[in-house]
Amino acid sequence: MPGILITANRLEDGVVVWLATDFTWTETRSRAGIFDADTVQTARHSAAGDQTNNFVTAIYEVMVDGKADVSAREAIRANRGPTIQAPPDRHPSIR
Amino acid sequence: MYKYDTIDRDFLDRRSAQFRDQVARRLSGELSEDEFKPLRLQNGLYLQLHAYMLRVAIPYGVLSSRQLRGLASIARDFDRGFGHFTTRQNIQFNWIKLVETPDILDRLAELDMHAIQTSGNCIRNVTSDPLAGATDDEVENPMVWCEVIRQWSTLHPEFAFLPRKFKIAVSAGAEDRAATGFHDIGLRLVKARSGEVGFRVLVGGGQGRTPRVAQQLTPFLPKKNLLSYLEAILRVYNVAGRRDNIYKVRLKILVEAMGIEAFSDAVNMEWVGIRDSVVELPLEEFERIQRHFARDTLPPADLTSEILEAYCGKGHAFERWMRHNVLPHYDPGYANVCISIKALGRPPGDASASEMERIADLADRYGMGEIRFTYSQNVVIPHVRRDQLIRVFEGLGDIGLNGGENGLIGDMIVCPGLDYCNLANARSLPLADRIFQHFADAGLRDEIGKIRLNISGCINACGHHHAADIGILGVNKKGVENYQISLGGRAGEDAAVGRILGPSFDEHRVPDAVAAIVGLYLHRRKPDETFGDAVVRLGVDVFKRELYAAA
Ligand code: SF4
Repeated sequence: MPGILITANRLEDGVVVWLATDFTWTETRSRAGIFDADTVQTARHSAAGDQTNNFVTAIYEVMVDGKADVSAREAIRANRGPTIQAPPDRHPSIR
Repeated sequence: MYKYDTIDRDFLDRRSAQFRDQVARRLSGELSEDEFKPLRLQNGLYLQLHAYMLRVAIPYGVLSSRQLRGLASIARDFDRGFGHFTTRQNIQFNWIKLVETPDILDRLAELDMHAIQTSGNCIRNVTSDPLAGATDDEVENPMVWCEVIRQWSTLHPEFAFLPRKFKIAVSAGAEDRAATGFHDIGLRLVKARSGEVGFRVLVGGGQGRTPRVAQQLTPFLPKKNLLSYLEAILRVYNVAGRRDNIYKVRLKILVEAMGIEAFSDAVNMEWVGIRDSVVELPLEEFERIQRHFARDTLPPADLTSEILEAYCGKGHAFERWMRHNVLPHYDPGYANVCISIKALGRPPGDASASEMERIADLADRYGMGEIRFTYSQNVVIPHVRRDQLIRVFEGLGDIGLNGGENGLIGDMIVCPGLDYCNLANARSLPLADRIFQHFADAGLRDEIGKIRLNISGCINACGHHHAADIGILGVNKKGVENYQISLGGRAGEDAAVGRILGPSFDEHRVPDAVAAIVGLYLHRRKPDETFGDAVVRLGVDVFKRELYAAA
C-alpha cells in the first residue's frame, strides 16, 4: 500500500523509531504505520505532540510505495545499522 | 606527550558537570531541541543516521596506551564495541545514548580527554604529522606548537562563534604529512637562511563543495609572533566571513574574494595593533609546554637482528609489511610502525575494542606507550626498536591488522558515508570493499605502488576525495547511489585539487573504472614513476578517454 511513514529519533538514546498505527513509536520498521490522506493528519498531530513532550526528535515523513523502502537511506535506517560488517571484536587467538 | 595538570583536570570536570546539567534539562523539556543542539555540538555530540554520534578529540592525533584502552572500554560499555578513526585524527562512536553521554564525558575526563571543539563553528582540534617528534626530516617538533595552539584556541571567547568551523594543521617535515594545503590555516615550520626557525603560513585551503589549495600569506613568521598573527587572521575572518551565505562562509571563499594581497593587508592592519603584545605566548609558558615534548632517552638498540634477517628477502608478508609500514625514525636502531586499519572485508578506519587494546599493549611492550592516529585513518606506534619489529608484526597478526598496505591502493581514506551519515548521498564503505576485492592480489597492489584513492559519500568531502590521485565522490542520481571519479589531486607539499573525469558510475561499475585507470597507468608509466606523477605527465584527458572508451 503506498502511503506515508512518520519517522524520528528517540530523544533519550537517538534510536530510529517509526510511528505505528496506534500512534506509539516502534523500533521495528515492519511495524511502522503507513498512513494515507485520511489518517496522516491525526498521525502528524500525535507525532508532533511526542516531539513537544520530549519523547522524540527530528521527525520527518517518508513516502513509500508499499513494497520496499524507496531510498537507500531509508533502507539503511530500517536495517538499524550499516550494510557492512563491523570490525571483529573477538579474535580467536587473543581471547 | 603533554600531561594534564590540575588546572586542565578541574576545567574538564566542571565542563562535564555542566553538560550533565544541560542533558537533564533537555530531557525534562526545560531546554528545547533548538536551544540544546548548539550545546551538544559544542561537546561533539551529533544526531546521525542511526543514533547519536560522539566525536572525541585526540589532540593532533597523539594519545597514550592508557587513553586508547579507555576509548576501547567506552566502545564496549557504551557502544557496539568499535570506533571509527577520522581524517582529522579523532575517533567517533556511532551508537551513543544521550542519557549516557554525561557518564562518557566523565570517563573521558578521567582519561584527560574530552569532545570539546570537535564540532560547531569554532577552531577545531588542530592536526599534525603523525611522525612528529619521531623523525629526522623535521625542522623541529611541531607538537609543541600544536599544544600551544590547542591551549590558546580551547574555549577562546572571541572565537567561540566563528562564521563557520575553522581548521588548523601544523607540519614540520620535509614531506608534508598533515595536508596543510587543505586547511583554513596551514603552518609549516621552516628554517630561514639565518638558521632561525619560523612558520610559513598558508591560508584559505579546504575541501567540501568549493575545494581550494591554501595560498601563502607569509613566507616566514617568527615563532614568537605565532599567536598574535593567528589572532589577526581569525579577527579578519570573524568580521568579514560571509555569515549570510552558507556556501560562501568558509575562509577559503573570503580569501579568494578579497584576493590574497588585500587579505594580507587586512591581517597586517589587525596585526600591528597586537604584535608583541600580551597576546603573545610568554616565554616561560612556551618553555613549560616544550618540556612536555623533550625527547625520551631511548635505550640503545641492537642493529643486527637475526630474526629480521631470517625473514627478509623471502617474499614473506613480513617483508612486505617492513617495506610499506615500517617508517624511518631519527634513531637508526628504531622505527615508527604504521598499522593499516584497512584490510579486505573490514570498513576502513573502524577498529574494535579488542583491537584497540591489542594496539595499546603493543605500544607499551615495544614502543614508549604512545600512539598516533593518522590523517589517513591509520595508527602509528612511534619509537619501536627495530629488533622487536617481528614481535609487533606477530602481535598485529593476531588481530588481522598486519597488512602492509600503507600508501597502496588498499589504503583508502573513506568517510562513513550513507551507512552512518545523515548528510550522505551514497555509501562509501561497501564501495571501498568492492574496490579492495578487485585488487585482492597483494602482488598487484605492490606493482601499482604508491597511490591515494579516497572516497567521500557527499560533497562535504570528509573522505578527502579532492586530494586523492583517484577521488571518488558519492552522488545521488535520481535516487540511486552513483559515484563521480576525479583524478590528479594531491595532499602534500604540491597540493592540488583533482579534476572530475566525466559522468558518474553505479557501484558495480566503479571497480572496473578504477581498474581501467590503473591499467592505463601500468601500461604507460616510466620506470619508478608513481601514479600521481604519471597523471601529471600524461594529462588527465588521456585517462578520461581511456575510461569512457572502455565504458
Ligand atoms: S563526506 Fe558527506 S557522507 Fe561522508 S561523512 Fe562527510 S558529510 Fe557524511
